[in-house]
Formats: sequence, structure tokens, C-alpha cells
Amino acid sequence: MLRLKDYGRVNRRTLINFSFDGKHYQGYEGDTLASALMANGVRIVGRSFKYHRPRGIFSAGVEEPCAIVQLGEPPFEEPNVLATTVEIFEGMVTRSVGTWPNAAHDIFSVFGLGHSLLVAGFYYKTFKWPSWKFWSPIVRKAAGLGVIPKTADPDKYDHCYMHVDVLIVGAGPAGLTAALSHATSGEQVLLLEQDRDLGGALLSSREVINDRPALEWVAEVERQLKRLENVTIVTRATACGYYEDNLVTASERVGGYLKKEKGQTMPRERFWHIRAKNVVIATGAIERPLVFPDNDRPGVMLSNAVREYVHRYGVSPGRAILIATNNDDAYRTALDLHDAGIQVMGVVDARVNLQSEVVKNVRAAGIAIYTGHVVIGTKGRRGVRAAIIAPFKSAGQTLGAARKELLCDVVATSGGWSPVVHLHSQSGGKLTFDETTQSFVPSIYSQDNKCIGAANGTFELVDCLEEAVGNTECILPIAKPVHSDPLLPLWDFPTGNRRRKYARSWVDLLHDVTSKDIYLAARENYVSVEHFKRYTATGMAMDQGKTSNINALAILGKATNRAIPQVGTTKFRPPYTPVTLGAMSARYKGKLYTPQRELVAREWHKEHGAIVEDYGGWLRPVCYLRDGESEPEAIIREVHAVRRGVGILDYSPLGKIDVRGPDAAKFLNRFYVNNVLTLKTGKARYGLMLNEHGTIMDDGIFTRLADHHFWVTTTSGGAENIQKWFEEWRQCEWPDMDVVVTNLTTGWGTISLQGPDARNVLSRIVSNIDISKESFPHMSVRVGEIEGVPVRILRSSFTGELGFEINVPRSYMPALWQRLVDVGTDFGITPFGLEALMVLRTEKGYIHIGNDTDSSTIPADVGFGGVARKKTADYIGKRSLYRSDALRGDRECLVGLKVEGNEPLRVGSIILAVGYDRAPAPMEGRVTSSCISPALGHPVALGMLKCGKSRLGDRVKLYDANGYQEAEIVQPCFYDKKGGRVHG
Amino acid sequence: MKWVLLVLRIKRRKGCEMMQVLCPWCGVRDEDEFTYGGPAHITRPTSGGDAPQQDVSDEKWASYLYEKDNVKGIARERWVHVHGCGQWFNLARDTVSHKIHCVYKMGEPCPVLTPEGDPKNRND
Ligand SMILES: [Zn+2]
Repeated sequence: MLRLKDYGRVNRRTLINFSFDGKHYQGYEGDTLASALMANGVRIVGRSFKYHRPRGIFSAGVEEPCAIVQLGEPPFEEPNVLATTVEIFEGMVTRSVGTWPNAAHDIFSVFGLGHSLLVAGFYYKTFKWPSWKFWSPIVRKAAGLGVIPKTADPDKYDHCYMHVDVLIVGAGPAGLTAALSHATSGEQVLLLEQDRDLGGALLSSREVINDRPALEWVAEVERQLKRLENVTIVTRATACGYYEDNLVTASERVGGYLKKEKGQTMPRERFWHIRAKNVVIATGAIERPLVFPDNDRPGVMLSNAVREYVHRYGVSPGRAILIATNNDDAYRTALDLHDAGIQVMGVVDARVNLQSEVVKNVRAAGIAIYTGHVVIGTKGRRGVRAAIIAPFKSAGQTLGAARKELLCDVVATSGGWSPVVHLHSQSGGKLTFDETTQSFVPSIYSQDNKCIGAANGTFELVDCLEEAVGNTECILPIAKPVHSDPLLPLWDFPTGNRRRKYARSWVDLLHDVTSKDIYLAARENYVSVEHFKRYTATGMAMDQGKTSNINALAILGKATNRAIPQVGTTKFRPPYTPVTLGAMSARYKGKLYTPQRELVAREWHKEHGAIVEDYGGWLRPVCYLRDGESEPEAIIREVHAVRRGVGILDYSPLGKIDVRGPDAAKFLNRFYVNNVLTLKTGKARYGLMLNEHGTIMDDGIFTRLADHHFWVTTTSGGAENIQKWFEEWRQCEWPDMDVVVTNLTTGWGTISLQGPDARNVLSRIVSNIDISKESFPHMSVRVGEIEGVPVRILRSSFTGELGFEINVPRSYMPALWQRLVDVGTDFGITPFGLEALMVLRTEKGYIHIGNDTDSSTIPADVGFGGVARKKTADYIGKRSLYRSDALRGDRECLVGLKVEGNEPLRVGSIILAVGYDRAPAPMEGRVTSSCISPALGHPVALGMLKCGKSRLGDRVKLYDANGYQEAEIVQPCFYDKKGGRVHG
Repeated sequence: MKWVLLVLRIKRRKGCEMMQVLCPWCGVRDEDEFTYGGPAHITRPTSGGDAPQQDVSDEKWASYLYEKDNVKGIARERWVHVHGCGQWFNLARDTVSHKIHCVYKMGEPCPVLTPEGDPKNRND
């Protein structure tokens, strides 16, 4: 065990059992998976992406590029979890990703031998033959990260919404001070912290505030904030996206760390949407590593991470630690380790002439300091065993000849700090390159936010506190001013060694990108930072280059003779850290994915054997099954019932729009291809509606109830859009028209009685409306009552039979339905579903908008060319009907397709051009509707065919993936061609 | 044999409403209550009232249908508060920063703005 006595904030009284790669381990409450594995002496926790080199724990936070695990077992599985941020819990099961059989002994590590082949752009260059499709399953198995769970996630997730005056992201010294200063001025404050504990960098340091250990100050501030009613603190919540108008999203881990079997009811995660008047970004900074050959061996770690494992978890990452740096901060690590009794093998610093106090303290502690030296390599097969150092001259960026081997099992490296500017950049803020710290810092703000502390490039504690207090009345916490020696820019260096050829310096550990790959990309002219990023995969995927970005830009700059600001940086895009799909979808899945509309009479339908399916957002009967019947049998029975007797259909989803006002007729006349002005009160007319491109948007029947009052029907599911369409024109284009448009679709139920006996059924209950053939002809409308209930009856038909559509206020719908079924029993009244309706209308050649038409169909294509031309007044889309494309003679138009035998045509089959009997062939049309006609006993279909009208009698060949079929082109009407039955 | 009806289902994004829009009737609301309706101040070519449009040239009509400015900077747009009061209105939005500089009711004159989006006195 590498646990340190008297160190760490873990609870040593509570032991927690967990497993990694099938082996069982124990940790303490408060451990992350990384700290617990480290305490158990596990060094190899994963394998690298491409070469499958052994990888160890590299960091202690969200920047981790190596220690990535698959968490949990199906169905509670989560891929690509960072071992450095996930807290252990009893019974936790984890395994390494992209390895087989496990991280310690990985069979794919043979890839490392062929590394000279696996360079940047390797996938693009290599897997061309026979095709990427052939290679991708093989490559994905070897080069993947986590495994996507195969089963549905049974966990709960929630969305949370909050409006606040001030949102503070990050509860380090700056964030805490800012929270206090805003809270005392009475503002509503929300403080988000991605960690379990408040304190940020103070948790892994020995800073002093107000002459006390800084963590005592943190605890005091936390107590103060928690007492205030206007402050909300949410921990384990990572702000991951910053959008317009100060909207910040955050993902909070709530129950993800609890054991499932305890029957926990908390959601696994919450996804927050926070709208803040002001946002304070106090997200701190992330340390970047130095780039040197073989810097990916387990044991090479970030310097501050080493410190954090000691202070927070009481675990030492190694027994003999060497520190490699170009700045002062790593000296603090050296001192902390030394004082914790861990052997420090020395500090290798690229700089010379060091004056600062922290350096003097390290020297006084008896730790060797190798100034003007750099680490140029590491040794050790399964982890660092030794490091090689060499003298370094910063002037010419050259190495001296001397070599020295230092034994160590950990190399703690620090290449400086990069402010976490992701949220600032996402908010639209601009960045500028700061030469002193060699990092991008916020410059111009574009929303109401500000960056403070390390996120603003202010790295010393005393300055952070001062910046956080600003000019508020808050009392400034006292910290000691520090003088630091400046950082020395150090990116990579020529080794000047024959072994150079084989030594690789890792820049992006997640994607196995080495400095060699960057030079190669530059040679191949991938010099734009956006191209370069995609070609090499640097800074992509989970870690988004948190540790690799600046190093990669600097090396790309070196390779192309540009300074970092000239290279520029890629735009930071949300999310800052990965967000689970579960958190984003929250409760909007399954039945709650989209609103589902149900019929008022649904109980009756269910009791009578209805099979229900979703049609355009409405759950409607497909057909009604009787005992022992199959669906096709039921549909045929229902069709026969309508043709021979009478059928009853719940047609309620039919769109119904009320249009009234003195200008109602004039208004509607501008929408329909058909003439509205000439329609007499009590009459109805079928109409087509176009968009400005002249193509068919919708069809329906418009009826005139009174001089200034129209009742318009639209396709089912189209009512909302048509109402919006009416409103757009009414409000935006013709505001002076005196007309009111109301969507009544869900307010009225519609019962359709269809069949030769329809009038006989209706006559039994209708009293004050004369429904005789003479006084209530086809395409007319009557308003009246049925047994005291108000109705609007429209005589129309989508079946080709005598038909009545009875509209009734929705609450009367089930009762009227039952009444009609009762009085219809003598006539064998049969409820029928949507599929029977579709067969009936296909037999008649009635088009169904969206099935038979598409977004290129104009009226002439479906037989309404004459009507459209005849109407002289302007209407929407009319001018487009005179474009050359609308007038050309070879347009596709509606035809009927007759088939011999009993196999119906397949919808979507294409009609091959004349002279071809095999695909590939030019396509001249397609099948849009198809069924077997129960009345005729053979298959019929509708389709669109080029020059269709002049091709009657032709035989055509059809093709789809299931094979070839043949058909004869006929008129698009198969049943009752004279159309006498609707007038019956 | 199974019929498949082609269904255009409008899926609302539940994940992230981003901008806020000031409805002239209801006040500030989240973006997902609104629908964008294309560029504003496009005049529909007509021959006057309900008269037939044959004298509108192909060029003029094609320009009305297809030639829309794709502005980088301040664009005039038509929006509707569809999950609210249902009213259409116009606004001036910066297509780069997404900042909405002004909102005005349908029929109101288009305010003159400087390139930065500030209101401009017509006498300047
Ligand atoms: Zn509104």
C-alpha cells in the first residue's frame, strides 16, 4: 500500500469493495477510482488508442487522457468514464477500455511494434482497399474506447431549470470569494462545483489564507454561504455549455455513484439549464505536461496531480519521484512530497539563474536541482523505472552531450498552466495569447460575464482573491504575496541522438499523437489549425485537448515557423466534458418522447377489437379484429361492408378550421386553386392548396356555412400547419383583411358514415335536417341537430360511396357514435379502420397528399391543371404554375397501374424507362399507393409516371430491392369509373 | 400488406433552447417558443389586389422565391411566437453573435440601425 499516514480527506473507517478488470480491490470512502487503484499499486489502467502502449493515471481531474474505464454492468453501464473523477462505491465494477483480455496483458499491444506505419492520417491512407466498410469492424474493435451499452438504460435522469442573478462556475478560492461578495449584496447566487468538495486548487495545496490553513477558510466560507437563503450550492455539477443570452448548461452527477441494489430513487444525473443575469467564470486552470520522448509511460504524471493524490487521498503515486519543470509551481510539489516523507529524486528545470523563494526552500530541503536540464527519455517496460536527463540551452534550443540516468518510478511534469477558457470562448468571448504564461487568456467579452482567478490567467492566490473581491464591499481574504521566476517556453527539442528515430514524444495521450505526427501533418500541408486537428485527431473526442492543446499548437508553430498566436486555436465548442445522452433526453423518451393524441371514443374502439397505431401523431384504429381474423382478412371484410352496406369510421383527426369574417371568402380564395367566391351557402367544394412554389401543400373540403362563415377541412395531422399558414398570411401580408381563423380540430369529433345504406342509418335519428337525395346532394353541408345535439353534416366521400361526415362537439362524440351503431345494427353497420379507408380511396384513385404527391407535385400532375388555369384571380402559388418547369410536357403525373395475378405492386418501386427490362435504368416513375382490390379481385396501384397521360395501355417494368414486377398503365380510377355511387 | 402513411413529425428539441426572444406582446421568452419564418420585408410581386399575375416577369418571380440575402451581420427576420400568443413580428438579428438588436411589430416601419446594431437617427 502506498497510503500515507495523516494525509488525505478520505474516510479510513469505511472500506469500499470494488473491482477493476475482474480483480477485487478495496478503497476508502472519498476515493476516486484512480486514487483507490493507485493505493492498491495498480499502475497500468489502460492501453493507448492506436499502439496499445501501457498507460497509467496521468492526472487527477477532468483533463485525464489515459485512465478511462467502462463503468458498471448491463444494464447500468456507462462507457468512457474517467477514473480520476468517478467516486468509488460499494460493489462498483469497472474495466479498462479498448483492451483484451485486460489492460495489464493486452493482445493488441503488438500494434506498438508497427508504429512507424500507424502515423497521422493512417486510417485515411491505409484502409482504401477493398473499402472502409470492410475494415471498419476490425479497426473499431482494436482502436475503440468504451463499448456502447446494448441494453436500454433503466436509470432515471432529470432536467432542472433555474434563473439566477449570478451564476458562479467553480468553487476554488476565486469562485468562493466571488460567491461571498455577490451573496452579501443580496443577489440570487448559484455556485456550481464539478468536484465533490469545495476549494478547488486549495484542496491539493498547503496555502495559507488569513493566517490559517486555506482549507479552514474554505470550510468557514462554505458555512457562511450555506446559511444564506439566496445562495444555492450544487456540487458534482460540471458546467459544460455556454449559449446565447447567458444560458449555461450543467450536468450534475446525483445518484451515479450510489449502489443500484439499494433501490435508490434519485436520478442518476440532472441536466441543468441556468439562465443568469451575470456569469462569473472561475474555472481555474489545467496544468500541461512537458513533451519529451517516452513521456507516456505509466508513472509520468502532471505535477499538480501528484500533489493532489497526496493531499486529498493520502496516497503517494510512487516511492521515488522526479520532477521535470519549466516553471516554479512544480517546486511546491517537490516540497509537499518531501514534507510527506516521499523521496524526491530531484527537480529537473530547463531554466537557469533561479531566485524565487520556493526554489530556495527546495534547495534548503536538500533536494537536488538540475537547472538547465531537461528529461529526454524514460526507461521501464511496464512503467517508469528511470529517467534520462541532459543539459539544455534555451538560446538555441539545443541539448548538451552529457547524459545522466536518474532512478525514479514517477516523473511529475509541469509545463505551465492553461486557463480553462472553454466557457468564455463558448460564450462568444475572444482570447489573446499571453507571452508570460504562454497561454490563451480571455480578452474581449461578448456577454454579461467575467473570468476571474486562474481562468483569467491570474495564477497566484493573492491576486486571485483580490480579483474576486474586485471593488465590492467584501472583505479581502489575506494571502501571502509570492514572487515567481518566469516560465521558460519549452515545447519539444531535437534529441541530437541516433535513437531519435525510435523515440516518440507524446503530445495527445488520448489519441496517441506524437510530435512526429505533428511534423508529418505540417509536411503534408495540414497547417491550418482546424485541418491539422482533424487530420491528426489532436484535441478531439472526450478530453478535447485539455492537456495537449497548447503543446500541439506550439509544435505546429515550430514546424511551420509561426508563433502560437499566428497558429491560432480551434474554437471551443460545448460540451466541456462529455454529457450522457440520458441526461440530455431526461424524461423525454418512450411514451413521453412526443405527445400522443388519442380519440375521444378510444374505449369503444378498444372494446371492439381495434388494432391501434400512430398515424400523424394520432392513435387511430388500423382495423377491428373479430375472433380468429387476421388483419388482412379484417380489412377486406371492412371494405366489403362499406361497398355493400354501411361502414362507420372515426374520422375525428380530420383537420377542421373555422374561417369567418366579412373577408372570409376573399381570404380563402387566395389559398385555394379552386374558386371560393362562387361557392353558395350550404355547398362544399374540394380544394387544393399550394405553396408559393406552386406545389401541393394540402387538400381538403371547404364549405360555406353562411355568407361570412366557412368551415375548412385539412388532411389529418395537417391542421396545425395549415392554421399557422393562414395566420402567417393574415398577419404578415394581408393585415387589413377582416377575418378570424380558428383551429377546431380537437374541439369537434367527426363520424363518417359510408356506404349505400348510410342515409338509411342516418334517417333513423336525424330530425330537423332533410337528408333526402334531392334536398341534400353530394358536396353540400347542413347545420342542425341530432336528438338535441348540435351537428354539422357534410355530404362527402373519400370512399366513392354515398357518405356523410357528421361533425359533433367532442364531448358528444362517443354517445353519438354508440347511437349510430345501435340504429345501424339492422343494416349490419361495420366499424372500419384507416387501412380499409386507404384501400377504398386507392380503388377510386383519390390522392392522399404526402403519399401520392411529394414536394414537386403541381395541380396539373394530379388532374387539376384545368381548374388551376381556369381561375383567373391570384392565389398563392399561381404564378409558379406558369414557370417553364411547370409547363413542360414530360412531367410525372398520376396514373393507375393494373396488375395480373395476385401479387400487389410494392410501394416505392420505380418504373423503368421504356426499352429497359433490368436495373440500372433511367427512372420514369414510381408506385405511390398499392393494394389488392377486394371489389375487383386483383391488385391495383397508383403511381406517378413521366408523360403518364399519353401512356395509357403501355406495359411497364417495375423494380425495387425485392425484384421486378410488371403492370399496365390505366386511368387512375378502378372502381365505379362513372362515379355514380357517391350521388346515391 | 401494410400501409405506411408518410408522416412529417415535427420534433422539438428538448435539449437546449438557446436564445431569448422579446415578443412585442408577451415579453422575453426562450427561443423554443418561437419559430423563424424567413427574411422580413420581402415584397410579394402582384399585379395589384387579386388580379392575375401574368405580367410579373419570370425574373421578378424567381427573385422573390429564391434570391434571399444571406447576410453576415444584421439580418431582418420574421418570427412567430408559436407556442405563445401566436403573433408574427419582425426583428433585427446579428447572424454572427445571434444578438437581437430590435424587435418591432408587423406593419411597423423597419428601424434604421448602424452596422453595429445601434438605433440611428434618420437625420444623421
Ligand atoms: Zn407572444
